[in-house]
Amino acid sequence: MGRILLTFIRKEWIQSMRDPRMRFILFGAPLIQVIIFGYVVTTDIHNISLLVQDYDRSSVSRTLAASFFATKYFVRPVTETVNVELAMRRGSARACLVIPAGFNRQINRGEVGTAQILIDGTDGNSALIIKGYVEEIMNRFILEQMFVRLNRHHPEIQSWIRSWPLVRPQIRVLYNPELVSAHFMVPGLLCIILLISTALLSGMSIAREKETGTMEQILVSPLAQWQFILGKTIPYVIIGFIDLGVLLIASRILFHIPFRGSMVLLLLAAVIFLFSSLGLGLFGASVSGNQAQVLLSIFPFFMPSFLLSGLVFPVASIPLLFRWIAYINPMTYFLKIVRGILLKDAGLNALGLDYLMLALFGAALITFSSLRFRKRLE
Amino acid sequence: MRVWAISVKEFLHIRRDIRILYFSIIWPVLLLVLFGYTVSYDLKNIRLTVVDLDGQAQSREFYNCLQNTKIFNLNRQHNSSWNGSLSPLDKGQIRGLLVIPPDFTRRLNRFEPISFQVILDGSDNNTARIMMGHLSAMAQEFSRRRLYELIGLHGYRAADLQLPVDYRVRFLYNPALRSQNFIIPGLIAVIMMIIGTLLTAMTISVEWDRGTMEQLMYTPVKPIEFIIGKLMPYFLISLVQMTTVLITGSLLFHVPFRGSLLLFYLAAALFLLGALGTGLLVSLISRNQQVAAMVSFLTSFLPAFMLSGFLFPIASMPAILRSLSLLVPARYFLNITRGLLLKAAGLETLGWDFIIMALYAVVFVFVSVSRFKKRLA
Repeated sequence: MGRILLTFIRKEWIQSMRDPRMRFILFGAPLIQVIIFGYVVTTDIHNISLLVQDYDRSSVSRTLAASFFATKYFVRPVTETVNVELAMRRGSARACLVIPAGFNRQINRGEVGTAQILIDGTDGNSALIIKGYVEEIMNRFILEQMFVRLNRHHPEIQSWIRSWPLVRPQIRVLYNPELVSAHFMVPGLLCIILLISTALLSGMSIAREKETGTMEQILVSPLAQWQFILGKTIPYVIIGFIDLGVLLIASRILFHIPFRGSMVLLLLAAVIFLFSSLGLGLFGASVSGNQAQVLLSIFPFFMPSFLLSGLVFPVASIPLLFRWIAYINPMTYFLKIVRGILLKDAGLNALGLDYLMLALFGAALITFSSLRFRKRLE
Repeated sequence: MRVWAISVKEFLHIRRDIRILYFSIIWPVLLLVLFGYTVSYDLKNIRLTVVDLDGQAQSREFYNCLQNTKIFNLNRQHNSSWNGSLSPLDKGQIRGLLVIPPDFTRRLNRFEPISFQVILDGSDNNTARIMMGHLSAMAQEFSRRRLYELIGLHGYRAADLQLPVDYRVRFLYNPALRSQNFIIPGLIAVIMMIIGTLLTAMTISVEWDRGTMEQLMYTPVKPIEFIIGKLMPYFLISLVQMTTVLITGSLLFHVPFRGSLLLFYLAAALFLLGALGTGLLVSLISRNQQVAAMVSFLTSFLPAFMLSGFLFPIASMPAILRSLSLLVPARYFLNITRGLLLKAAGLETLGWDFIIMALYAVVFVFVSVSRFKKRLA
């Protein structure tokens, strides 16, 4: 029994590795993805091009403008223009500071000088962050101006300025002290690549037999059905694990992502997760007649499972109805385990429930799919 | 005429396979609903435990200030119940721990600076950063209130308390900062890239795999006629799909459309031509369906999703990837859809994007058609 299975696995392995393009895709693609993910996904907003419209042209207005560019967030736009409307619409400026004429005079007289800041709201998230930066800069400027004014009448206020702000947070960040996005995203990518390489490719390789009409030959061969399924999936499981190793090493070298927890626990979680992903692949194969159809049936599941797993957006912030979908998504638990092991040295006492849920959904998925697959064959 | 016959045949083929219709019409709408309801950057419900070692008037005031920030799900503990353990953070039960020191009220009453300790879970760096922003803004606000109180106590004139400068922040194009207005125009571009490239790459590589493509050589159909006939249905389906997404977006999420519809369809047609050309080229390069699937995933989905500015701003990327994103056609299409939907932009601002898209379409159609001819010959 075991010999037949081994031979079959070897044949499958050779068949899928024959094409040099395939070899490149299997091992090169994950690397490309890890590099893009690691570098692109940053929640830092900087290099914001700020157009300054200074109608006052006084020392105060220049100080205000300079205090924006003194931070690392704002830069001057590549082309200075007077047409705010056009620059904002074209996107060559993402924010604009308008200082009206008489700004300086009003401040000196003890009146209120009003500045206006326009922000491109298209990207609501960036806009909010930019607004935060603007508030920080403006509030500091306002306080400075206020202290300047108070200072004229009350020199004793000096000591207060020195102790500003009165209450300040002393923040200690655990697990990822420099708040590098890659530490958050790359463990997530491990899960995605494992899912894609096992679910998609194994499903497609089963469908290939249907497509070429060799399925019938296999049915009459001494190969049992479970051996067929195992033989088809194991090569991709091996590839998945090799990719996992490659990615762990790459993420260590490129992004210095720590590995604080236990390797055994990570492998255990990956094995349990495979039941879910192979279940999805088998499901795809059972409803398809050729490989393209497998892709079309499985691909639509990928996006929601990424979106509703906490990969980018935290599960707790998802609206309730969709949060329930996230709770039945195996990816959610696997992701939490991988991040927990890599970043926090979390053990079974912290992640036990997640392992349990992962196993539960994996068992359900693989049972459902193999029953369905068997029915299709008969 | 022959082009027409091939198109009709392909249409019949598509009609038989429910997956293609599901993939190209229903899935995009589901995706839209999913993105529209779930992608929201305003964080809520962040669990933060506050350990109050002071318990006096100022610390209560401080706690109220924290509650006003609205992003936290607070859990207040007093002196006795906390043993210094960080295990709720390890287990991921809470995102942060804030400790109000014992002499908080006493020092504040004397107007001495004081710091409070915060321990954050940095594994989700975005959430941690947002928490840090809210906490320091809150601390500033709290300090300012104390300062005004103090200035008042010292009997300064009202004029001294008036702020010398005022400022207004105005958001253009999307004043309410709705994430749907940002996501949906981008989603149109991403979905079209996926459908255009993935769908054509797969359906054509099925024919290569089966060898039915070579049979063409024995028919009077010219390669160019074949390509047009074969791709026409996908072109039309993609346009229908885009229209569906646009209508759903405006009905469900009230996404505006401020520009010219004509320009929008022109841009879409150019983009689709390029995407279909890419799909054809992928099928020619990859030889088998598994490779085709992975290659189109890498060349269409990944760049359109990651490097186009769909979710992650291009300006914040490192320089190399910023230049790489110049090669991603979805970037220009996205600029156009956002410009037309939100900014009422016209050709005077989007001219360059249109030129680049036209170039993309011409190059990819030309390269793929000539490679196709060579392969058949």
